[in-house]
Amino acid sequence: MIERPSARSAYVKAEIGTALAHQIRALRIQRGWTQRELAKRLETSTSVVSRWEDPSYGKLSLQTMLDLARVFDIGLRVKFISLIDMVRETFVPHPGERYVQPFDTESRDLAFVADVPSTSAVMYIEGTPVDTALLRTEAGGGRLRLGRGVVLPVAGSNSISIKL
Amino acid sequence: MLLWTFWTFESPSGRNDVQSEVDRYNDDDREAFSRAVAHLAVTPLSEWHLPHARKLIGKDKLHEVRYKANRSATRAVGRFLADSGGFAITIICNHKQDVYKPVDALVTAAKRSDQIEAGIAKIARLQIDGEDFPPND
Repeated sequence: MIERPSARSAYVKAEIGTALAHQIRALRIQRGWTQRELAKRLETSTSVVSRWEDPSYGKLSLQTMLDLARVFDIGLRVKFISLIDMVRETFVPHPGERYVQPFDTESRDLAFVADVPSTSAVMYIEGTPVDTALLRTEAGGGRLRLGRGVVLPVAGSNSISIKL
Repeated sequence: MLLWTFWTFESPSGRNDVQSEVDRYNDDDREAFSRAVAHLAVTPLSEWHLPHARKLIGKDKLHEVRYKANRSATRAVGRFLADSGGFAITIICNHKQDVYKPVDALVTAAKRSDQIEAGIAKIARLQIDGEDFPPND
């Protein structure tokens, strides 16, 4: 595969189309929504949602992905990367990564008090960084308040790691 | 971690039409097929749903993997192997407006699956670019 440019581009196209279709379906089901409910939230039709969940479709626009991120209340990462990195990360899919908690659920255990500096925090759960918990605070100095009543002082503009 | 390994039907005379068909695919078709298989290989059976795959109701425990090849809706039809975590593809066919081509594709798929279960026919690991796919590790 790696020797032919046509095969490399075919891999990128097929993997992106298949992985996105699987993930859109997983995110919808995770929220307990039918295709009709997701369509209603995006003011589109059920057949359009069905197409988005079809790996053969392969024509999702960036705007559609942004709209999906908005209704699912999650982030979206789109960037060009080395093909070798892509194959390494995707050759064996990780189905658990299809599911992403909405922000409201995810942020229950992590919150910032007012007047904290421009600081980011990475929350660790059982030694694994939870990237999606990355939050940025507003300018100023202050403290970081975690769930369960734990409050930590935060200073400067560096990233900090907190092991729970 | 792989939940399912993928296999192909080998006739008693040693013919393997499924692997031959896959080997003939151009780059786009081969990747469409292999990524469909790769994602289903880590997907629990309870989530083998449309549009990625589906259980064929009333069709002798057959399932199909759905993808596009040769610019047509294509189906890799087969059956899960008893107690082995494997899925044996017994035929690759086209599908248009609820009609399979060849028209007896599902009959053939069921018959071949029965032959595998009866030990009359053999199975071989699905291969992409000459290697077992998806790989075990």
